[in-house]
Amino acid sequence: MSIAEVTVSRTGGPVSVRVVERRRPQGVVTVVWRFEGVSGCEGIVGEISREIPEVPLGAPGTVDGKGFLVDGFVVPLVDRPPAPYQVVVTVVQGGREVHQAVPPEHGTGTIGPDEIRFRYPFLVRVA
Amino acid sequence: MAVTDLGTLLAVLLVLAMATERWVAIVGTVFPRLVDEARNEARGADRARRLAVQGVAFAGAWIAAACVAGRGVPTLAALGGLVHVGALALPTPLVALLACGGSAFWSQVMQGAAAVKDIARTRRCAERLALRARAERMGVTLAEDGAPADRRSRLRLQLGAHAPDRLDASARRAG
Repeated sequence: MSIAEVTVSRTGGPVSVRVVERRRPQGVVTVVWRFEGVSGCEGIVGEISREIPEVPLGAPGTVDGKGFLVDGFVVPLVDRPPAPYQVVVTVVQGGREVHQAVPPEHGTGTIGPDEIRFRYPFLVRVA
Repeated sequence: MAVTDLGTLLAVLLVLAMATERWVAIVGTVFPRLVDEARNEARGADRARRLAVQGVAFAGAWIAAACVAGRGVPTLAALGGLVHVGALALPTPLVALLACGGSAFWSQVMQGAAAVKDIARTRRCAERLALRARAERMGVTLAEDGAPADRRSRLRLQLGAHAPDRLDASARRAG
């Protein structure tokens, strides 16, 4: 799986990540892991749900060169035949969207009664 | 063999061993020469006395085991039958032979088995407490039995269970 590279501005304000499921009413349960780079897991930064869609990653200086893994599940909230879903990961800096992507791995498709796991790794660079 | 079956078997053997000891004590009271070591100083005579005592003990244990096998009635069929303990079925003579080991021996074995069960119970409690502490740190709701209270809590626990070692490799490997 390729790792996306997200470039942020040194003066653009704090960086955060948002995960939403576009075609509600599906829900998401997500944790965001932080890495030193591509290796060396430093722990969980925060968790994202339908109620709390955004997690702060830190100031530009503290996230420069860090890797983040968005690891989550799309959870069907209603019992009905397979329904389409699409997960969108957005990196935000100072309220402005600087990167947006649908996770290539199970980020979009149809969902039945079972939850679907998706992942999206990215590296942050300060320009 | 289930742990409960083993515990039940040990309890049965302990009871049979105690009954056998009482039986030997009664026979010894009726025939004092049988238990009087001082009067059997000669090596050969004492050997014969010991064999006699062991024979009496085994006979008593066999009858007692047959009582268990025959559900309270030591019938001839029960003497050659099986003693059922949970999923186990042991021949009556073998149970009698084991019961001849004496109540002190089986009591110690039972204490050992109880200690092993206590260790297992303590380990389960520790694991449950650790899981609960981890769940509380994650803000996950657990039910009374320690299981996640709902689907979202279960998934949240699953996501935080193992820290990935690489940003890309973890994405491939994580299940």
